Amino acid sequence: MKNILKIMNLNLYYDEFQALKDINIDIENNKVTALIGPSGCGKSTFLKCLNRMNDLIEICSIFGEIEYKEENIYKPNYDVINLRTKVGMVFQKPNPFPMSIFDNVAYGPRCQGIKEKKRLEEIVISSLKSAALYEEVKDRMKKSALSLSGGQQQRLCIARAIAMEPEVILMDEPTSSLDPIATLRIEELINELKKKYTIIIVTHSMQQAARISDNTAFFLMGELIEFNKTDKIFTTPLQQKTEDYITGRFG
Amino acid sequence: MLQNRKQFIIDLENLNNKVINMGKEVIMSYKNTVIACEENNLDLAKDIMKQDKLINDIEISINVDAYLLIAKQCPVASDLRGIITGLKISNDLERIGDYAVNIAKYILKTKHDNSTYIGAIIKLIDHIVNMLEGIMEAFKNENIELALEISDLDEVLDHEYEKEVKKIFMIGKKTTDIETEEAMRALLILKQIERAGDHITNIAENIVYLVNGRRVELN
Repeated sequence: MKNILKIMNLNLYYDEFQALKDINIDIENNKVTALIGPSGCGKSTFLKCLNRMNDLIEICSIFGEIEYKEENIYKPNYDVINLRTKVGMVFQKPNPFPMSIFDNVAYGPRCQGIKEKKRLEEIVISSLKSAALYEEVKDRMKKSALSLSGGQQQRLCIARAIAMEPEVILMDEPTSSLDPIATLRIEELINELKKKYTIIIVTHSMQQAARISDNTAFFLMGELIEFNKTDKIFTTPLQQKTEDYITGRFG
Repeated sequence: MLQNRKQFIIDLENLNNKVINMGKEVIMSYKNTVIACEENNLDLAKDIMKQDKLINDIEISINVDAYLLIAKQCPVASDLRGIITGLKISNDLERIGDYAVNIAKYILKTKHDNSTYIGAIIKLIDHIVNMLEGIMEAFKNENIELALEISDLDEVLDHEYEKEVKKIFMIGKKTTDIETEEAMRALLILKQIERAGDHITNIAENIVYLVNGRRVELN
């Protein structure tokens, strides 16, 4: 299976306002897909559709299909809890729980019923290693997660997502509150993570999209204007609107 | 339009203007080589060599501008192509300019004894001047059709070159060392003029890339 997610004729409304217009896009396995576009273009809304986070918004209605591993996630009685373990999410601002570093990562597995201490330890250590944080925190696992720096907290959130053994990780501007060095570390981590996971990232940084993604989707006013290989988008975009946006001709 | 964007457009225009000016200087060099050949004007030949310093300085200045723009503005899409083609075209122009210097050196070396071959050399240089004027016009107006027409002229140049080389061999076995040396010198210069035509074809390829992002191999 080349495409882990297939989005077909997706339309989304907040009450009367149409936030996404007839989106069709295939997300490739083990690739980084970047979603770019000006604020309010629908990219975060689109991202949240992929693990049904928009279900929590009452005024939101969704039409069309999103297939995750060839099964429509919006079909009746679909197991949403399972979907959200398989399609994890990392947010703009690091949001560690107010508990120890260890407990943050062990939170998800514990909710799934894993109680054995040794097994939990294994999961926490391997998740922290995958998130390139283990070496920095191995001697203070019992310390509060809030004592970590912003960049470390974001990597902890990535470790927390990884602990659920997801297949897809959604990232909504994961580096927008980080300094340039912490940003580069996360970008390096994303490059490493794509070997095991499929990553979809919303970013406002054109350079970040160009540096880390394989495919790029450009959204504008709820429409998908162009979706192509990142190399193509940033050298010879097919649509004038894409060219205007990425070169800063808007505004 | 945002202020940074305005500044970028001004900087990119400046870079393009430098490429256009560089082209004018190279064309001037070649026109001067024709006059120097025709009149056997040794002072003008020396001026051509001096003029090359100016051409080289413009190329360095284009390089500096391009590196700064890339470092500071992280350009993409047509902006990036504009800078890259500016860099590449200036590199080709610099090389074409070097050949003009070699023609000037040839004039100085052969002095009054170049009458046997000078007609052929002038003929090919005239062809290069035409191609250079056309290709710089195509660059200025981002005109792909004109760029392709000019690259077609390179085939005509190649044909003329072959013809002239054959003529040199047809003149017959060179009886003295001096005659052999003269023929060799003329052959080398003709070859360099032919190479200048290849560089003009490179410029045509870069104009196509600049305008539509396609890499083409011409001739």
